[in-house]
Amino acid sequence: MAEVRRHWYVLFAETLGLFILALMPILVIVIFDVFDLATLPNFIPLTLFGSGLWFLAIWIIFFIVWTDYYLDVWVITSKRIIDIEQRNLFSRSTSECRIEKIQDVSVEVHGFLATFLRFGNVKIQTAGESGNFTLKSVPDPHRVKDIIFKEQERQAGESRRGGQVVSSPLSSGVV
Amino acid sequence: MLPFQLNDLLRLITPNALGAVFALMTAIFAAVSWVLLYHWSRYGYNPTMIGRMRALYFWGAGVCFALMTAGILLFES
Repeated sequence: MAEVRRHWYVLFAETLGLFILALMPILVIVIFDVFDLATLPNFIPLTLFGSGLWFLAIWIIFFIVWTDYYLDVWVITSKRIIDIEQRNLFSRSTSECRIEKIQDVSVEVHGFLATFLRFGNVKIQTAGESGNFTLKSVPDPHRVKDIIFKEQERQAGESRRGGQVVSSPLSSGVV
Repeated sequence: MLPFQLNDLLRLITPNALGAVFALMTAIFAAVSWVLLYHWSRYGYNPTMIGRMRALYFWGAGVCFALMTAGILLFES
């Protein structure tokens, strides 16, 4: 079994704005200093309180984003591919397709960053009613494609030999 | 110059007002934490990873609450 998640860059891009926002209290302190307002009564307590409030809000949002990222996963087993999508905290969908139903697997890598950091989309066309699967922004998409192809070949060989079990090329792990 | 009298604005802030904001934020934090922990315990595929992130989440939140508490304690009405 292999678990495939989106590339870490996706999480980084989604949270970059939050990291920039986290610097806002410093900017506010600088502005207050420039306007000579840092001598106002209760400036330090209010700065401490406001910063704590601000950081906590950002911290909570970061973990909501991380949860959405972490719980979005594709699981490739020797029998099927399972697509678990966490849309938001209260919306989640799961779909799956059997390995033998896969007709074609293609890889798309778009852009400089995707090429440089080696991530892209893996599109899976199936013959069944489950339609097409797209594994979005996965790391090392060519390796994922190879894993699916090898698994498909292994299962085809197994069927030809009348169900005799052959060792799976899938090693347990996370891609 | 700012377009308003900051001193007048600051006079509106009282320790009770800060306490109310603190209580509201604690309630929001508790509700979000419950939802996140529910997801992590139910769907967390890697217990080690989830354990680390859970610890990070609560330590970070603890620091934020400590900053807010310090602000309230140092506030002079």
